[in-house]
Amino acid sequence: AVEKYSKAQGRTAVSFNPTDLVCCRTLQGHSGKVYSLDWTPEKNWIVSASQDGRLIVWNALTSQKTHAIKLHCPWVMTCAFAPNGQSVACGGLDSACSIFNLSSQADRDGNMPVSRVLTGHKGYVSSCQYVPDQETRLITGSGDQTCVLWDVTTGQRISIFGGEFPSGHTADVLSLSINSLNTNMFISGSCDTTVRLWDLRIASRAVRTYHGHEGDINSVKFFPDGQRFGTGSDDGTCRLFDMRTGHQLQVYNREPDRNDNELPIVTSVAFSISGRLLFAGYSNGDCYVWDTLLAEMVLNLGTLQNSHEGRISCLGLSSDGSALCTGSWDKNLKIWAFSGHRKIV
Amino acid sequence: MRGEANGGDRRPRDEEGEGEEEEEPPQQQEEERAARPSSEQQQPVAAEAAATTTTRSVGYVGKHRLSAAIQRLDQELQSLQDELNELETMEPASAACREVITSTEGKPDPLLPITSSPENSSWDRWFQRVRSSRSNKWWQSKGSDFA
Repeated sequence: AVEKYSKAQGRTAVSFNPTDLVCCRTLQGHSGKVYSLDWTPEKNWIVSASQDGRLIVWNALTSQKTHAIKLHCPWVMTCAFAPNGQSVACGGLDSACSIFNLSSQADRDGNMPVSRVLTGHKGYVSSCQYVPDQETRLITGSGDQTCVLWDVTTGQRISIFGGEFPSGHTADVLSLSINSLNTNMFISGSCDTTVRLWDLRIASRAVRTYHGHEGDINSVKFFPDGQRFGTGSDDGTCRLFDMRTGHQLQVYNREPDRNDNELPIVTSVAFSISGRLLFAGYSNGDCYVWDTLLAEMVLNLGTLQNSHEGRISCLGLSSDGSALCTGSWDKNLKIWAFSGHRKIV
Repeated sequence: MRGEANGGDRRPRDEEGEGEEEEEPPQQQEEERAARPSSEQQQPVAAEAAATTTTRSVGYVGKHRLSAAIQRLDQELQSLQDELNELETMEPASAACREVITSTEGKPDPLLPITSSPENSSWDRWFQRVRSSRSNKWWQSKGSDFA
């Protein structure tokens, strides 16, 4: 619907020159697949989690590693930076979320003391995010079909979303995104093929359920205006939904493979700071740059020089929107930025 | 119904059976006309006239209802047509689509080749010379090819 309307309004697709978006950094250091990454809200730091059982904190500008944290449980799936950039959280198959204070000293083996462990989930922790501007509150999504709001200082669960209540997810929660313009609202994506909208103040029922996808929803991300959100799924599509009405506004469909292979799945999505671009990472190493309005793929980072050599597992924009970081099963992270001639209107 | 039991007050009964009476008489008239030989036309005309008068008094009430029903249907058709026209001219515009477009405009976006002001000089920090404490790594200036 957005595509047709935009064309009717005379909009044309964003046009990139071949050297406009380039890989300007490759962050090497993990010895296993990268599963998750998160930027700090203010500085140029990134935390990444890997199959190698480590969290690495990077200065993305200099490519230096500032911290390499060996995890007690190596099966980590997600990581997040605290709003003040002083702590990182991670979770995985241990069904817990561990918090590390970056100013603590690591011992010679890289073991850093855990400052808090959030226990209570009955399944793996697939996703975690701090509530923006609140160092003390964090939300997790889990294989136990629930999301939980935690008080990090006490380690207590403040609210449980789903589970016993009938409007909760009916399968594993894989992803979540908090609305930065209204931090009382967050969405969760699940293996039950739906996205659910939650109000932090009302744990008893989901505000709304969004249908449309035909497979696990691996990634959800709010649109910059806080009124829409994007999703990426095992069904190979990305979609744009309207939060208030529940309408599916647009589907972003790949062209089928010439060799008629199975459609690659979408592992991760993120919007550029204006929302005009939708970045989508795929299981085959592609990283499509979609024109959100025209539903056209305007660039594939996977075909550029210095691109990843494996599945893109995670991606995220820096807080000022000037750089995209992608994480891959090829063990690397890459930073992409605009190096061409910019026209300012 | 009123009057039914004792046979009085014909009107309700007429209204009840009206539909049937309306449809049949015209057909009956035609059949009668067809059946009668041409030489006997005068008689049928009279009979016809009588039949028509009767039909008219009954059929007239029926026609009112019919015409009201047709009017209602006409109105429904008109509003459906209006809705279709509206949908066609608005299609695929909805408030949400409009909002999506307007929300992407006017916001400076460092990753777009054409974007609104103000430009921020820190956007290009990824291409500026950076000296780290460990090595003298630096990156080529903006616009050049990357090795």
